[in-house]
Parts: sequence; structure tokens; C-alpha cells
Amino acid sequence: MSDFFVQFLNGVTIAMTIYLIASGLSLVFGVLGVLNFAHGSLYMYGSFLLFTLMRSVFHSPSSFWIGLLVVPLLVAILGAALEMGFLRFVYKADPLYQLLLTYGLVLIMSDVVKLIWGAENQSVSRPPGFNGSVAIFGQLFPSYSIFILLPCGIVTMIGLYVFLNRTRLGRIIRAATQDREMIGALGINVRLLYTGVFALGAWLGGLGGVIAAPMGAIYPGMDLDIIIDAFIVVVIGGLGSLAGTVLGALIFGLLRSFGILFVPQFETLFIFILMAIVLVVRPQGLLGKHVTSGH
Amino acid sequence: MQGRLWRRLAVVAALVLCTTTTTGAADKPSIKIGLLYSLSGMAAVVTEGTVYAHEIAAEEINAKGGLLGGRKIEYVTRDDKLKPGEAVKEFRRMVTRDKVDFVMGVISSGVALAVSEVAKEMKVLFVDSIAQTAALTEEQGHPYVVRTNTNSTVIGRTAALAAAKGPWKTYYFIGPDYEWGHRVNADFWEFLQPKKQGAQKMGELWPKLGERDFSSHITTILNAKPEAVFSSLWGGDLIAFVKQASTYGFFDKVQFVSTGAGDLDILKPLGTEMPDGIMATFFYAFDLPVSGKEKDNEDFVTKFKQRAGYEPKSGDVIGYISTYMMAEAIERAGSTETEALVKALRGGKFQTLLGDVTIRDFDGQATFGYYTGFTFSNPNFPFKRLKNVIRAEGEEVLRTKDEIEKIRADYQKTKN
Repeated sequence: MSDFFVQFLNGVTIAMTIYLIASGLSLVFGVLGVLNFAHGSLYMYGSFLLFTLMRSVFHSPSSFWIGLLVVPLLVAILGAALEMGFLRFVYKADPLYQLLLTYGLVLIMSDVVKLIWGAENQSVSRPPGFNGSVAIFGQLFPSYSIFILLPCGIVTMIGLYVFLNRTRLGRIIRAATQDREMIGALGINVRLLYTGVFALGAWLGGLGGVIAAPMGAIYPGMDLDIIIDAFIVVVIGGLGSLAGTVLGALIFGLLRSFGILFVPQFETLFIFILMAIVLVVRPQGLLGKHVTSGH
Repeated sequence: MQGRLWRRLAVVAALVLCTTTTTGAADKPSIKIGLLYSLSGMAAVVTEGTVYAHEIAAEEINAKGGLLGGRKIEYVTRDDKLKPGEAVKEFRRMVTRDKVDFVMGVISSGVALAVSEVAKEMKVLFVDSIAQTAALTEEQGHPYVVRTNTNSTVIGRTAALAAAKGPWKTYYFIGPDYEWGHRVNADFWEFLQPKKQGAQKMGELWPKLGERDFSSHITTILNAKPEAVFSSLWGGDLIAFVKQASTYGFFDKVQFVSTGAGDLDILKPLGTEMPDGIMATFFYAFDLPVSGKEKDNEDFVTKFKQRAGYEPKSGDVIGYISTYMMAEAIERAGSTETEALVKALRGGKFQTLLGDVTIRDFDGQATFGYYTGFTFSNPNFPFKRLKNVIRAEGEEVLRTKDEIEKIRADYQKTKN
């Protein structure tokens, strides 16, 4: 039973990390209609910027907290610049061109990382006080996951929900997913709105990069490793649906952790089988709306 | 007054001597060696140090007057872009246009196998320096390929040899889910069983390459309560695994036996986060010279650090050793002609920075030793170093002549 509980918690941990990345991807697609392949790159920049901050600027593990505040903002600024410099010009283009553009950005951003930070593996430590583990029902569990990862994931989840559903700006953003021209006709600066949404998506990616960095390695190539999983999550949950992203991430995390417990040889297989079934039975994703033509 | 005159004369004489020796050397054609490495892309950072080490060796040799009575070493360095097709093209170009005497390189195993095929077809010598796939010298071996490095078979077997000396009997396995991981884990297990009575495999896990979250793997292993865990994880995966596992108290509960954890690309980024007491295999450690080579090693490490800005890793020292081994072979062959070189290399014994090495005549594989040690905190470095080191002799852990003949026969059968 306690094995079961620990694997359940592990699954939720995996879900939280991937949720932070996938939510930004889903948000940008939902509002801007662009499948942003470079979203993983923003996550990678979050990790590398945290590395620079902790290792070169402050030389101290407790500067993680500064990084948690500052780095996602820096990534959001980078996101805004990318939107104004590139993406803005392809909203009306064929989705294929959008994909080509964002893939081009992936390549450029990955080369820039190698130029600045080199291609070696890097690592940052956890903030002081979160190096060990806590016992939950007699089973050890990393305190970083319990006290930093889970709260950040849950706060982001609730924050996004409240922002999109309970604020005026959130309602405008949701309206923009329905009809861009109507929003413009009502006197709202759609260009600025789109830049803002893309920056918010980038902020989420950067936050994911910061949160994930102390748990693993930081390396060029982490962008592509994560973007594939993030795509799987949003495809299962439904592109553009934030509730779907939560559901997709939970399914992804739990399938992974219980897959390892029961059938370790095929731990990655289940998630792909599920994705295939979802694509056949419900192509718009579990909680996605029907794909409408002419976005 | 007279003393001064003599001194002046001596200086003039020295100057004249210098100029005549340099012009003398310029008359003789240089020995052209092709270096084929990935100079752009992901692998560039790894091969950068190897090329530096090649250069240091050539400078030392040239400063002493070169080879074959005054011929200097000259490199022709090309980028294989980590792609077999590109590597093959560059190899042909180096041979036909640049007229290199032979080619040294490469980092990728896939590239090595492709280049080796062309070397066989063109009857040009290919000296594999970094890539470690055993297939190159085992089932796909031929007369025109030699390797001045250890190979992948040695890695799992060396770990097994050292692990068999410990008290652990129940093992859990974890490795990256692709050919290399499976092969190293199989080599370890095959070699451990006959050496350790009652050794038992409790289970195995195969996370995908680039896995981020190992929490489920870690708890699964801990719940099985093995005495030891063998791992062929490497690079970023290994770093992530170590960081996550230590929060579970993993390294206090099991003996971790790791094939990747002994080299600087893991120890440096992890710093103090690497636990003490991990059993780690490695090929070369800059601060653990072979006995009798302490001075040579110190010189090399100093020169290398000056040029590169960091301590030499296993993949770096290989460049230095490879150039020296080839220089020795050229002297013995008395020429740079392929057939004579092949003859001098195969079956030849070489004194290297890493001790005495033979290039075996039946497969062209060098018999470097391989090491296992335990991580510990050394106050002289901001990262962990290794102690209680056990050396496995190359011949002890390489496949034997009989084993290789069998593998080659099987390979021919499946090919036809």
C-alpha cells in the first residue's frame, strides 16, 4: 500500500514538472493558434539563466530564490521579443509555415546556448534546507518535490484558472480565442494582447526550467527532450484546453510511475498507446473542443 | 675580455646551427596525419580537448627533431559533423587530395564503423581514438583498422571484476534503453556471475535516454532492497539520477556501481552533490598517474591546462597517447607506408603515458588497463576524486582471440 502511495506521489511530481511546460504551450496555441515548437527552448533558457545566476553571479545555493523570481521574467522578455520579431508575422500563414518558423527558432536558440554556455552538462544545487527528504507514511520523499515543486505547480494551476476566468483581462484573452477580429473591433489592442499572452507562455516555460533545474542536469538538448513529452500531454488533454493540460499531465505522470512499478520493460510504451487511442477516438483530446476551421 | 668573445662566438654558432637544422627539416617532406573529429555541433566540446592533446604531442615530437630523421608531423584537421556520410566524404578527400599518410579520429561509434569500411576498401590505415564500440575491432574488424583506446567490452567487465571483490550479492540494474546500455549491463552480468558465488539479479530498469525524473525508478529499486545497483547511465541522465537518488538516502542504503561516474564530465558539474563511496569506473584520472609516469603525466597535465583551461579528461589524454603511439610505429616501420605501418602496429608493444600497451595482432585493439575507484572528498579540488583504485589489465577484460573468432563467424553467418 505504501509502495502504491509513493508511486502515486512520484506520478504527481512528474505531472507537475510537465504541467508547467505544457500549460504554456497549450495557452499559446489556444490564444494565438501557433504550435510553438520553441517552447522547450524557453524552458532550456530558464535552466541556463538560473545556472548563470547561481554559479557566476551570486555563487550561492540560496540565490535559487532570486532566480525563481527573476529568471521567468527574463524568459518572458525574451518571449516577447521573439513574438514581436518573428511570430507576429505568421499568424495568418499556413500552420506548416508556423511550425517551420518555430523549429528554426529551436535550432538558432540551441546554437546560441552552445555559444554562451558550451555543450557540457551543468548542474545547480537545491536551495539550502531542501536537500533531504521527509517521511510520509513511513516512506521517504524528496522535500524539494513536496515543498517547492508541488506548491509551485498548484499555485500556477490555480493562478492561471483565476486569471483566465475571473479577471477582465482573462476574459478578453478567452474571447480572443473565439474571434480575433471582433476583439479588435471592440477597440482592444490585439497585437499587444498577443505579445502579452506569448510572454506569459514564455514565463511559464522559464518557470518550468527554473523548477526543474535543481532536480536534473542542464544541457543543450534538454529543449527537445521536454517538448516531445509536453506535446504528448497537450495532445491527450486537448490542445488549447488548460483543464485538459492538467488532466493530460496527471495521466502522463501516473502512467509513467505505475508503468515502471508494474512493467518496467515497457515504461514508455503506455503513454504512446494512450496517445494513439486518443488521436483515433477523440482527435481533439480528452477535454479539447472540436477543431473549428478558420481560426 | 676573451671569455666574452668566446661567449659571443658560441651564440653565433648556436644561431647558425639553429637555422641550418630548421632549413634542413624544411627540405624533408612532413608526415601528414589526418585528424577527423566533430568540430561543430554537440560533440565539439568533447573533441576540442582531444585535438589540443594531439597538438601538444606533435609539438613535443617536432621540437625534438621530428621522425624518420627530421620529418615533422603535420595535421590535416577536418570536421565530420558527427555524420557518417560526411565523415566518409572527408576521409576520402583527406586521402586523395591532402595526401595524408593515415587518419586518426573519431568520436561517434556510428561514424567509426562507417569510416572503417572505407578504410578497408581504400586500404588506408584508420586509427580509431575516441569511439569505443567493440564491434569496430571485434566482428567488423579488418587489417586497416586499429584502436588506440579501450573498448566498450572492457567497461562492464572491469566493473564486474571490482564488484566481485566486494561483499554484495543481490544486484539491481539500471541503464539507458538503447544498444550501448543493454550491452554494458550484459557484459557486467556475464562477467560477474562466474566470479561471485550466489550473485543474484533482482530486476532491471531501462529509462529512456534524456529521462528527467527518476523518482519512480529510485523507489522501485529501494523497495526491492538490493545490496548493490549497477548502472550504465551516463551524461545528463547520470547527473539527474545521482541528484534525485541522494535525496532518498539511496547511496546509504545500496552500493552504487557506476560506469560513467568516474570522469570529470560528471564529477565537475555535480561538485559536492556527488556522494562519497560510489564505485566508479574510469579510463584516466589526471591526478592518478601510472607508476613510473608521474613526471610525464604532470608535464602533460600542466601543458594541457595551459592550453585548454581545464584538466584533461579520458577523451583528451587519448589524443596525446595516440600521436605518440603512431610516432613510435612510424619509427619502427621506417616509413609511413600503410602496409609497413600496419605491420609495426599490430603485435607491437608501446610505452605510453598510461603504461605499457600492446596492440593485439588479431584485432588491432590496444590493451589499456581500466580502473575502478571510490569517490571521496579531496580538499584540493572542488569536486570529488577517486581512491582505493583497482586496475584491470586489458588482457584480463578484453574479449580473447577465441571469443573474437566466434563473434566474427557468427557475424558473417547473420550477414549472409
